Amino acid sequence: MKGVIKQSFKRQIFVIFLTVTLALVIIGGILTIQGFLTKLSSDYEKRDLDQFSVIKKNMESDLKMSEEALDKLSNSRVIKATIENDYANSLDIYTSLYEASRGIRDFAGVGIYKGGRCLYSTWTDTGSKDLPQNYSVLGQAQTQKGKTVYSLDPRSSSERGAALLMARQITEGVENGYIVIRIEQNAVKERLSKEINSKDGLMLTTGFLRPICLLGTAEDGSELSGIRKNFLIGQKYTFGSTNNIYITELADTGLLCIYVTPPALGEGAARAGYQIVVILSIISVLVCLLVASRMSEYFSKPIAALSSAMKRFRKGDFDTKIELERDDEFEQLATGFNKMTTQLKTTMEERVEAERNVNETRIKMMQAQLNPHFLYNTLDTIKWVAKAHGVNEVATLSSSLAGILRTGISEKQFCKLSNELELVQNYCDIQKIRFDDKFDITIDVPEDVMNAVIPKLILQPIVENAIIHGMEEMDDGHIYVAAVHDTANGNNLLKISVQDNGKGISDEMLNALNNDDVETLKGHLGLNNVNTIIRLYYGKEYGVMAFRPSEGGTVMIVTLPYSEDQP
Amino acid sequence: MTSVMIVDDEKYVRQGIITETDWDLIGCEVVAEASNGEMAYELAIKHRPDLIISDIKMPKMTGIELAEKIHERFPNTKIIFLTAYDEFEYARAAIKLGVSDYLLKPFKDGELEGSVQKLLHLHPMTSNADDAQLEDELINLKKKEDISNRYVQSAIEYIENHFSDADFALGKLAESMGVSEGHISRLFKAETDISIGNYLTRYRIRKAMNHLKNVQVKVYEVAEKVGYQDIAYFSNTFKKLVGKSPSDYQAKGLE
Repeated sequence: MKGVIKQSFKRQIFVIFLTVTLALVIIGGILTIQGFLTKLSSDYEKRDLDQFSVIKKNMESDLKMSEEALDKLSNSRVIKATIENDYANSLDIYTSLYEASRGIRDFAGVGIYKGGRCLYSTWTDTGSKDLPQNYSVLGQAQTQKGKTVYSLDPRSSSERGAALLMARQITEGVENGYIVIRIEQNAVKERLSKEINSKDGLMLTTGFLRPICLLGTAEDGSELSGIRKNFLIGQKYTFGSTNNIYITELADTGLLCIYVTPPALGEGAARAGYQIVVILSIISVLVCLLVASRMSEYFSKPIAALSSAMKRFRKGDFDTKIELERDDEFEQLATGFNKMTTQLKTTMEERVEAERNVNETRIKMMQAQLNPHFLYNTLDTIKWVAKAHGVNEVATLSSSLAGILRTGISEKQFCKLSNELELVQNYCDIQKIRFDDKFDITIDVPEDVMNAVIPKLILQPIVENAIIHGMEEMDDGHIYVAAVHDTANGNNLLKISVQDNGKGISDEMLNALNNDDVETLKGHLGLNNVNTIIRLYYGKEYGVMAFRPSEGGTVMIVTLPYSEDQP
Repeated sequence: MTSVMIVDDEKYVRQGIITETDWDLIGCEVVAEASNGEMAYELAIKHRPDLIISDIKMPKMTGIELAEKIHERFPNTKIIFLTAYDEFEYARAAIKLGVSDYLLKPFKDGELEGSVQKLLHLHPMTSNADDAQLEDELINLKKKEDISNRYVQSAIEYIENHFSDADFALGKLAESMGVSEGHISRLFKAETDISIGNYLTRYRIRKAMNHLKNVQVKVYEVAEKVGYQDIAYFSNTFKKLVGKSPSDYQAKGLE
């Protein structure tokens, strides 16, 4: 995987970009969402607590007023007399009751109990107002003499709430006297419902989480039963609830006030946030892909151009140039490369030119040393003397040698195909005499190809190779020379083939020729020269190829551009 | 018969050209030989040769000077230069003088004959002549109808019937007519100016030329059809009479 990435510039850029942007998008996104949610919920919590404390204060003040009413009644002689002496001036009694409970009359009623019996009360109630004497609110009041106890009205108690009773024992006797303040569930609701928001819930319960009043979203009691359950099994009271729940005790009354608010942002908001992060991640992957491909193209294109130009240059194309339409360092690099190739090419050409000059000088020196007039005249005389003495072989050797020399030593580097074939024929005439007619040659070249111009002495070494290496130890060697002007597929090539029926070219030579292995070819100077000369004049796509046909022997094919003028 | 003079300062060369060239076959006869230009000029005045074959570099008078003089005095005399060295100056001078051809020494067997044939019969090209006329001009064969001697007529007839036999023999010809070889040879030469052998050769090459007008046919097939077993020999003979190789002729005709 690592290797695959490292092999490509594009992939490397992509991975780097992707890492950076994904890290930014994912980490940044999560932090933003979390921070936002935290801040929001803390704001909400603060607001909720403010709200809650206002409610609590109101309730506490109501309870305080009720407490004060109880204090007043406790000290009232009329009330005490009523309980202890069965004082029965009901006008007096009711006046005292109403007077004491004036502040709380809006939401509470007051009653006087002797034992479990209700002597007088300011609330209207259907049925009996008596209360059990040994448990519930009166029982508690008896155990905590003089103190106010808070409890439910056991007669109206249900899961949906109950009236709140506050009781205090004021006299002791066979039958104890109590003052009870009763606050109806609806009265509490009325006083509190203004204070809470529509999405919030409020619960007023006893210390044992028995409901007194349920309001707003907590009205159905399910929230309370959830909290109660959590308390029973010892779990945090908010377990299993998505809402925020605040619990506080109202002063020292033992009553609990529970405030329920929905979460600041629902799960949906967080989910939407994370969905945005995912979408952003996908977008950033796509953007990274796009940018990476653009960037890598921008950077790798000139590098690829440079790399391929260097490859071409290495293979011998000294005209290699890089064209970049840019103004940056790549352009400078390309300019440098182009300068380098130009200089190298010039140097190469100078060297080739120098070598050519040396060669030409050598030829001129040879020509100066040996007067050609003298040479050919002598060969002519040898011919006629031989004929006069009936030695025709010598005559042939002499005139054929003259023919070879005439093309071979001339200053011209090019000749017509017909001249080269004549030279080959002359060469074979001599070799036939030397090797006792052990081979023959057929030249099958159409007349219209004969005018093609080729570098001289490129066929003779091939034929020589066939005779010397291919057909040694043979008595019936045959060489077949053919040439065609190949114009198929828009080509304009001259293809000359030299086929022999000899022992076949060795694998080593075959590979050396077809793969242009100069080291191996050095042993066969003639063949190597042919390739070198052809490529020097026409380029590396031309030259000599060798094959070993199935019927045996060797086929050499020389490929040149067809031309009737020298290049 | 075309009269020919050979001019070369080297004796072996001169002798070689005279003895090794198939003069009879191409209807020529060497009437004089000279070892320098001066001598050649004198002999030319004396013998009036139709054709002079001359070296260029010679003592006393060079081939170029000789050609100038001959051209002045006998404008119809044709000249072929022989030279060892392919020098442009020579070639230009030769063409300026109307020298007809130019051969490089040492030339190969048959080259001189071919050159002479071309020069004498095809140069300058008579533009209005058709191929058949040109060929008649190049390889002249007396027709049976023009010959009065009965024996010679039947000898020609025999050649026409048996030219394709590879083992054609003068003995068989004489035998079929019931005369001696010597007798028929003498009669033939007297009537036609050439030997029976040369007549046969010319006849065969004429036939070969006809065959070669078909571009599909192979040279060795033609050689066989006209009685030659050795293709090299056939090609060489063809070259002597036509001035070019059979394949060349097949591709381009006489032009």
